[in-house]
Amino acid sequence: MTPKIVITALSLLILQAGLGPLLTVGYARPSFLLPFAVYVGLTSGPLWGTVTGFILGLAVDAIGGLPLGMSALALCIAGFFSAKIADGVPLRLWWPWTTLVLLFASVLEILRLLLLARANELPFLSLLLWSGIPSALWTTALAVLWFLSPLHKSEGATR
Amino acid sequence: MSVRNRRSGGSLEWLIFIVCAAVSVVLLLTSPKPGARALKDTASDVVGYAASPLHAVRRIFSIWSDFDILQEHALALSKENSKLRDALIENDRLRASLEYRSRSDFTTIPASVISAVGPALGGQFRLDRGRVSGVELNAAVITPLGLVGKTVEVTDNTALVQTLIGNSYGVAVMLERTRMRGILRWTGPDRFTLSGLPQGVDIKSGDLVLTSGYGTVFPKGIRVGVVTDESSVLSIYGESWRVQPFVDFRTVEDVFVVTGTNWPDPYAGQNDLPIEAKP
Repeated sequence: MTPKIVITALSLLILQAGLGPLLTVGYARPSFLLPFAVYVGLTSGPLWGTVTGFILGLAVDAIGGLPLGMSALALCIAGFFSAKIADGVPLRLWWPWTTLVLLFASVLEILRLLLLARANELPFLSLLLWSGIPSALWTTALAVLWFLSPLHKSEGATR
Repeated sequence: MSVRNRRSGGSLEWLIFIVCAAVSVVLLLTSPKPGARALKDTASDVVGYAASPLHAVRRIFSIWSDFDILQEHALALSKENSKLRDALIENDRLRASLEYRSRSDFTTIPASVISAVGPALGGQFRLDRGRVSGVELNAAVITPLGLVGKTVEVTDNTALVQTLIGNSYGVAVMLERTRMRGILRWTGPDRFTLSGLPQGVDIKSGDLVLTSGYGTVFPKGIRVGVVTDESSVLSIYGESWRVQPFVDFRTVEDVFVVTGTNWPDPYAGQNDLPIEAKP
């Protein structure tokens, strides 16, 4: 399981860096990494969810302009609590998958925009409306698409 | 036995989570320090290198629209060029007669956007050129259309650019027609405002906004945008006017980084305020 997580995480990180801008709509940019942290939490437990989220978040912070540790905090929370909240629940589309991705995508955006608003003396609610909520919804939509796609079904078959 | 194992496993999970969360918070508090900066630089170089082939994929999606836009620009520029040639000759003659000192051009380094990680609103992207290519910190970044922003992090092979979107700095600008100087700021999504102009200023919709050359980052005369509304609005910076930048920061792919910041200061002798410097 570990090499698979590592390879997928690295691929997603590179995809996020390289193709993220292509999927940007308005001020909404999806995160590929947050659904992955949630997925690892749900399928491999809170330990792996935390570690995967933490390392991926650290990598994103390192290559982006955000303060080091911000995404790491949000993604390790997502990985850990998704496993804890849905402990023993089979992985299904609306609950826990979509609900948890939407919940933690919102947490991630709120954390990011709080920092951005504070650093730039901008109205937080306006940023949340224009960028935070659309980004969280965009991330969730992609996560739903992935869940319904053959990619996830083949993943399920191998497990 | 199994209950004990689950309990000890549960404790370990909580312990790891608390450690990761604590490390994240500590890093958040210490991110400007040299150790964290070195880690960021190394990771940026590695991921920037790995993600650079994807730039070609992104280009495929935009190459046809770019071609049409460039054709239109080429046509418009050839017309403008012939007009400007006449103006240049006339300008040189007038300058010589008035003994104006000539302004030296700045040099630029071409660079491509290789990644844009983080919120789209943040207006940051990473370039495939860094210290090795001569890119410096706080260097102006432009496109043929106008000003994009400045470099805020530079590693050996990459540079992080902060565009005017979500900026934490104001750009010292002036109106081309009246030469009145002010400060351009991003004040929210799709909202750029020009403030700091004197009361009763002569400003019209369509007035061209250029960098004024005040400060230490942006050289004078770079196109920034146009005033879109004659009526002023009240913002947290006082009375201000709406400006539409020429550059669409979300679709930037190729840029030029300005180097050689030793251009003559056009306002030498006047009070030079480092407006672009981050407070």
